[in-house]
Order: sequence, then structure tokens, then C-alpha cells
Amino acid sequence: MPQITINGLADGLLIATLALSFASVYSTTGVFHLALGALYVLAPLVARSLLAHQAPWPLAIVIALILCSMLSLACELVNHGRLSRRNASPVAHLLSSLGIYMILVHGASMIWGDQAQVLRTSVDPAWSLSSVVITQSQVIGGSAGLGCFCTYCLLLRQTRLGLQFRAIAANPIEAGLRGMNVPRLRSSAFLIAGALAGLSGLLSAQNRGFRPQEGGFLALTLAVVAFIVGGRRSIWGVLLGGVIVGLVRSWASYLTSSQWQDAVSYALFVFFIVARPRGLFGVPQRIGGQA
Amino acid sequence: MAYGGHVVFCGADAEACEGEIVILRGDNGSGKTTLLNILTGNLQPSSGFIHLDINGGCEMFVFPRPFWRRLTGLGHFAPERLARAGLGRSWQELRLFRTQTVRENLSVAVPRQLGENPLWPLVTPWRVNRQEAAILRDCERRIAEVELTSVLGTEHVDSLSLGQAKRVGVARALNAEARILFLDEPLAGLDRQGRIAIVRLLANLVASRRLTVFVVEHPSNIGELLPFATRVWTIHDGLISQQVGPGQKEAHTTVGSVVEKHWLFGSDGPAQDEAVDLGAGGRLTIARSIHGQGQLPLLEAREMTVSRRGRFVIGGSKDGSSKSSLTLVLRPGDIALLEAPNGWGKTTLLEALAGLLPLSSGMVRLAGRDITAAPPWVRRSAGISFLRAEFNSFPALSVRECLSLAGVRESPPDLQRFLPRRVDTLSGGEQQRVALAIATMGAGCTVAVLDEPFSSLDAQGMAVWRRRVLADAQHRATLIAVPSA
Amino acid sequence: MNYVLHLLVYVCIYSTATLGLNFILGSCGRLSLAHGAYFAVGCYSYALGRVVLGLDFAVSVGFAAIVAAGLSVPLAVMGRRYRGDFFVLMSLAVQVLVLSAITCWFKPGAALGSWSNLTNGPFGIAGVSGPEIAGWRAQTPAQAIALFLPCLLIVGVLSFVWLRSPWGRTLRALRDDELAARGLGKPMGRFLTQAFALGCGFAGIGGALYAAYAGYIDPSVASLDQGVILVSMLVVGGSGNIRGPIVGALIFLLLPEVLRAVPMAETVAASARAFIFGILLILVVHLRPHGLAGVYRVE
Repeated sequence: MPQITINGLADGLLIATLALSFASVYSTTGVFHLALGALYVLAPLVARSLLAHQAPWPLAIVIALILCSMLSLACELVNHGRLSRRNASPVAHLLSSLGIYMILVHGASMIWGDQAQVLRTSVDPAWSLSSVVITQSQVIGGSAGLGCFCTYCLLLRQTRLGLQFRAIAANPIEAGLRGMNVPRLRSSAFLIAGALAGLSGLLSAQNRGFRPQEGGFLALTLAVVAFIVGGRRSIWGVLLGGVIVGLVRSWASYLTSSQWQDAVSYALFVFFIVARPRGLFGVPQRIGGQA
Repeated sequence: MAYGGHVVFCGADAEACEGEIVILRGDNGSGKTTLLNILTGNLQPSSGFIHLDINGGCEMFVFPRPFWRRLTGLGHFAPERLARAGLGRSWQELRLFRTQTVRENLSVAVPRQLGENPLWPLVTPWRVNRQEAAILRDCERRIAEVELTSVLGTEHVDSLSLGQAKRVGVARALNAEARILFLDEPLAGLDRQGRIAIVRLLANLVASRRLTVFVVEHPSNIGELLPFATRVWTIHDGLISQQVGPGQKEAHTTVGSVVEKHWLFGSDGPAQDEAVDLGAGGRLTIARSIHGQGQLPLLEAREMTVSRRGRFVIGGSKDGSSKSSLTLVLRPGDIALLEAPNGWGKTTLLEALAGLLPLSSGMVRLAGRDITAAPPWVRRSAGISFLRAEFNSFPALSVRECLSLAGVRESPPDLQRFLPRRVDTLSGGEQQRVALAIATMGAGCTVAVLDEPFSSLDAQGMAVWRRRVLADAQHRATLIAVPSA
Repeated sequence: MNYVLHLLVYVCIYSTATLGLNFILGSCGRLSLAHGAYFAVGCYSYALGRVVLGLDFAVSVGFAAIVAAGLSVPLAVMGRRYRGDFFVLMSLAVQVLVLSAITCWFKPGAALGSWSNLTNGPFGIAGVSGPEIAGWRAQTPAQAIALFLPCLLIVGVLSFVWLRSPWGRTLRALRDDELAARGLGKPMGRFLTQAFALGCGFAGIGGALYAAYAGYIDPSVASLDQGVILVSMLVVGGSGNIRGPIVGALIFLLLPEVLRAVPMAETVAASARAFIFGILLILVVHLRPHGLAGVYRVE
């Protein structure tokens, strides 16, 4: 029983990391960056190819992360930035984001093929503490995830860049009027989000393997569920949201079957949207303030 | 009715009868639009009840709504329900259906159309077509009533002038068989001729059809309407006071809504004065300073015209009375005051100067440097600082963080005690003071452009800030926009 | 020649489904990724109608349409309150729930169609009888077209009549400015429910035709890919009229033929089409928001 909880916790931290990457774009720019799901599966693919060519694994990771950041930045420069300047509707952003997702995922499929892959070819060392078994990838994943959160929180609270991010999130027009270079800040947000998504993908692939075709979209939508459950406002809400989603999935898989875990996660999402739209830590919005 | 802690109304109640023209009067922020939204079902009051008596049927709505009603969405005090009962409204921002033609805009409004049930166009298309023909004839009649027959065939509603569009809006509400009309600032943005035309139209409609019309208007616009009003509701401090009979123009006592020239500039007045009439009620007064005379201009705006959605707001001609393109030159020490009624386009003009809106033609130069195409942040670093009338703060940040973002080196003494607090926990007046500090005390600000900067301040705040703005004004150019009396 | 006819059959099938999505995206302005799920509901309803209930072709297709329209109600309820980002997430939730239901609702050994085994799960339903009318069975693609084309025509004519009717006009008004339309007395909920029901009903018909032609269906018809493909067909082709959706379906299905000119491996070719459609989607949003043949601008 506690094993299920531990597994859920480990998965939840990874979901939370992807949710953080989504949140960093959504709260600063309002863009629903679907392409992050594609980056989530692209990073392990790139890393795997590099490892197959005998690259040392730190280099493989760094290259994969840089690639993801660059691609995410390209999304903003080529697509979302332009649409924002034209005051495009959210539907336009969504459709173009969907297009980018299709390009990246199917492009990857054309290069690397479709089958489910694993990143880790060796056996995963594990430790047992009383009745539970914790694997090394879970530890790495969990601590890296927590590390991301702490770093991001420090960035937001203590650095000037973080302050500017929070300013654009609060009022993008006013931020421009106060001299902040809004396009550059948006690009930075996209850059960071790309790296986080890639990292999340690598950690997840290290743990469990990955499916290039549908794995990305599913992971991203779970991340969005985590973001909403957490309340859309604070970073720690995102973390808690991710952990909750992970635990719910783990327990659902144990109690029913692994096929139903996705459905249960979505049922959780629908419940939160309908019964408590502000999530766990959000504030009630004024009447009329609706997505 | 309370918004996030700010109580707007408290124990408001009033009444009106058939065939009346009722004016809802009140200053900015007094809540007249809130009241309008509540009465038309677009906003729910925090608590209280509304007693609706239409066509003999009585109903009582209690607020806040109990949980199960919120879920099902049935039987609410909802806009569509009220509209079907005969309550129509026009909107401040017009809200015409942009992808549809004028004819379609009007035809859509007709209630109880057969064709609106997908079954009938399939099964009995001839009946539907007959009704459509009747609807079209009705539209022609209606459009003749509002004296706009020439535009009936217009394809794009965007090409209508503001006055024409407003009349289409009224016609549309009438088409929906409204017996009670709520009009939200119908006179805003129109010149004198346009206002007279609308007022005449309303009077005719009320007389010929025994409608009841509620008009929400800003005090600066209701001059032409007051003689026709049978009742005036004045909203002040959360209460409504009624006056029956044609209204009198009330002297303004509310602090902060209007800033008169001599009040701003003080009794020791400016050295020189320039007054420019900008048309349609707008007036620009510039107090030139002596020592700025020989120097190079800080801000130069030449022949500016600005349009929004294809319609000229600044410059170009409007409804027969032309507003000339704007030319403005400010030297160090100059203070310019732009007074214009609501809807004239003050905010549009200022936003164009700040870089939030593109100019349709003309040029803006800052200390000789051409910034016509520059984005807002580049303009800010060049020295022009803009304070918006609304949404001018960062709600989630603390005051200290806001000040540091703006490059304010020394925080003003009256804000010291707010430094660690989040901006959204402050009151409206306190937030406005923070916004003023950010806009005027930031590093490298040589031109300050302020849109209704003193509107939500109390007397003490205004005194403090007026002193500050005037003290700083010696080395910079200042442009302040206020609504006119 | 046979192959061209085979393609045309699929054009009929997907055009029908896209004409349905047209009501949801073009007339209501809501982006739904759940359309593939309703397509699948149509597939399975038709299959069960034929195999388990023994209904004939037209009745099964009708049955599929009704079931899909009935299941659209939850989506319509959510559509009333949400637009944009949140509605997309809700539609995704619906899609996942339908996929899970189809994949999991089975028990090995139980009879198909019984309460414990509605869908045969991952094994799918085989031996679904094809299209036939009054005893005459369509064996070849050409004969299938003879039955499917009238279906498409009927769906097209219905769409045309409804889009031009006052119902369509009011729906567009609600799309353009919900507050203003409600202020005129138009009940948002009723129109939205009707539009969704008709749209999902058409998706159900498309699914039924697919099941009839393919003869075998499995849970992959309910995959998210299906929904994404339908959306991209509609947006690239254009929405708001009947030409756009059909053009979108045509382009999508004829594109692989064009790609044959370029030599590439079979597996690559399958992804290439989606890759190109992703590019087209972005180009349309940026450069031609009304699609190639539509009237409603998604911008």
C-alpha cells in the first residue's frame, strides 16, 4: 500500500515539473503552449540518439535541453508573439499551438519512428525502506523536480527577472509602459519552459520509458490538470497539484485498472472546474471573470 | 452590492413608471453602470432581493443564489429572461454583431422567430420564409424610425459612424420588443449635433410608444437630456436619491472628478496661457513656463490622427463636425491640460502618445528623437511616462517591488507604511497614489502623460500629489487629461 | 480507378464528420477536440446495432446519430459556461472518458452487447455488415459510394438549410457577442445544445459509415488523433459554410496521393501527412484565418 503512494508521489513530482513549465508560460503570457508536450517526448529521443552514438550522458542531457529551449523559443518568435501583437483570440493561439505540436511530434516520428522506447538500458538500482522499494530513477526524478521548483521560486522572488515575470503576469500592458521589454521577457519565459519540459521528459523516460506518439499530449494534459487543481496562482500550488494527480493516478490504477487512470485524472479535473474553479490555492474570481 | 471588498451599493431602492425618461446620474465610480448591469441581469448583487412585476406576473429573486440554482441555471434573473419580458438595453461599447450586416443585426433581434427552431426550416420552409419577409419589412420600418434608412444595406457594421451605430443599437433593442429600455451612456462620444439627434429620437420614441427609458449618463454629457427627463436618480455614496420632474444641473461637489484649470495651476498662475479648441467639446489649455521658452521641445506631436477599428477617433471628420488632427508641442516646464467629455477620445489620444495604439498619420518626437513607431518600453526609456486611467497597477506585487521596478529611488513619505503590502490589498485611493508614484517618480522621466490621475483620490491625497506634480513640472513636460464639466 | 473510388468513400465519411464539427467550431466558436470521440461513438453504435440488434443499414445509421447526439449533452452543458482554453480541456476530458469506456468496457468470455461487455475492448468488433439497401448489398467501393454519396448530400443540404436559417443567424450572433445576444432574449443554452446535438449527430453518422465500410472497428477510432485530424481538416478547409469542411476533407485525403510523388518509406509517409497538416494549420491561422474555402475567421 505505501508502495503505491511512493510511486504516486514520484510520478506526481514529474507531472508537477511539466506543470511548472506550462505554468511559467501560461501565467506570464496567457498562452496554452501545447508544444511543450512535444518537447516532453523529443528530449528523450534526442538524448537516446546521442547516447547511442557514444556521447557521454551529461552532454546528451545538455544538448537535449538546449534543443528544447530553442524550439520553445522559436514557437514564441515565429508564432505566439506574432499572434499576440495582432490581439488574436485564444482559439487562434490554441490552433497554431496544435499545429506546432503536430509538426514536432510527427516530424520526430518521421526521423525516429513510432515505437515505445526506453532511455535507460541498465537495471535500475533500488533500495528498500521497511516495506517500500524506491528506485534510483524515482529518487533522481523526485529530487530534480523539487530542485526545479526551488530554483524557479528563487528566480521569481529574488531576481529582477523573476520580478519582471511577475509584473507581466499581473499586468502586461503596464509592464510595457514601465519600460520592461515585453517581447524579450516573453521569449525568456518560453525558453525556460522549454528547458523544464525537456527535463521533465528526460526524467520521466529515465523512470519508465516513453511513447513518442501519444505520450506527450497525455503528459501535458495531466500537467494542465495539476495546474488547475493547484489553483493557477502559486508555484507551490502547482507542486501540490502535481503530487495529487500522481497519487490519484497511482491509486486509481491499483484499485481499478491502468486503463482507467487517465479517465480518473480527467474526472478529477472536471470536478475541480465545476465545483471549485479556483483550485486549492486560488482566489475566487469576480462574477463574469471566466476562462 | 460589493466587489472584492469595496461596497458599491448599500440599501439602494427606487422606482419608476411607464412612459418616463429616467436619468441615472452619478460620477465615475459611483456605480451607475453597476446598477444598470444588475437591473438588466448581467451582474448579480451580493445580497438583497429584486421584485419583478411584468405583465401582471410577480416574481421575487433573492441574492445570493442558493447552490442548486447556480448549478442548474434555470429560473434565474438572467438577461435573456428579462429581455423576453420586455427589458432591452444598449451598451456603452455598442456590441453590434460584427460579422453580420445591418439588416441581419436587426433581424436577429426579433423574438419568437419560427426559423429559430431547426425543425421548421426543414419541415415547413414556406412558413419560415413568409415570416422572414415580414421581419424584413419590420426592419425597414424600424430603421426609418431611427432615421437611418440609407444604411440598411450596409455590409459591415464597422463602417458606420459612431452616431449611426448607436442608433442601430437602439433600433435593435426596439426590434426585440423592449418596453423598458436601459441605455448605457448613449451620448458618449458624440458631438453636440449627434447628442441632440439622439435625445430627440428618444423623446419621440417615448411619446409615440409609451416606453420607459432609463439613461445612464455621466454628468458632463446630460445637458441636452435633462429637460426631457421626468425623473432623476442620483447615485452618491452607495445610495440613490430620486427627484421627480425635469432635472436641474447639479453643481459638482465630488472631489476629484473634475479638475479646473485655476485649481490645478494655483493662484500664482502660469506665465503664459494657450487655449486650443479641439472640437466636439475637447479643449486643450497649455501653461507655458518662462524658462522653457527658448529651449528645444521635449514632446512634439504633429498632425496626429488615430483610428480604432476603422473609425477615426482623433482627427478626421466625425458626423459633420470635424475634429482637426492634433498638434502639440511641449517644452520643459510646460503643463498641458486636456479637458473633454467622456467618449471624446482622451484615452485614445494618450495611448497613442504612449505607444499602445498606432497613429494613422502624424509624428511624435521626444527631445528630437522620432518615436512614432517605437513600442511603449522604448518610449519609456526615452523619457515619456504614461499613467493609465484604469488597471494601472500590478495587483500581485508589493508596493516596494512596484517602486523598484519603476526605478523610483526614494519612496515618497506618504507611501512608506505601505511598502511591504501587496497592491491589491490597498484601497482605490491608495492604489492610485502608488500608481502616481510609479509613473511620475521613476528614473529618467522627462515627459509625464497622466490620464485622469486624480480621479479616485481623496482631498488630502490630491493636495499632496498636486504639489508634487507641480514641483516636478519645472524640468519636465506634463500632459494631464480630465473629463470636462 | 478502384483506388480513387476508395478514397472518395473516405471523403464522404470524413466530410460528414467535418460538417458536424462545423456547427461546433464555425457556428458556436468553440474548439472541440472530442469530435473524434463522437465519431467513435457512431462507429460502435452502428456496429452494435448491426451485429447485436440486427437492425438494417439505414436504421443503424440513424441509431448511431441519435446515440452520438444524446451523448453530446454533457459537452453542450460545459460549452455554455466555458469558451476557449477551458472548453478545449473539457472536450479533452470527454474524449478521454469515451476512449477509456470503449477500451475497458469488456469482460473476456461475456457476449458482445451484454451489459458487462459492450464493446469487446481492445479486440474490437469484427464482421460488421456493410452498407445495403432493400436487400442489395454494396460490395465494391463504387457501390458503396452509391449509398454514401446520398448520405453526404443529405447532410450537406441539411447543413446548408440550417446555416442559412434564422437559427443559424441567431447562433452566429451568440458566437459574435454572447452578452449582446442574450440581452436580446436569445437563450444561449438551448441554441448551444441544439448545435452540439446536430454536430455530434453528424459525427455519429460519419462514424457509422466508416464502420460499415471498414467492417472492423477497435478502440483506435476513438484516439485523440482522430479528433485532431478532424479539427485540422475543418480549420484548413474553412468553417462557417458547407464548402469549407468538404474541401478540408478532400485535401486531407488526397494529400498522400500527392506525396507519392516524393519517394519515402511507408511509415514516414503516414506521419508526413500529419506533419504537413500541422504546417497548414499554422499558415491558415496566420495568413488566411477563414481557411481555404470558409467564411468564419478563427482569429
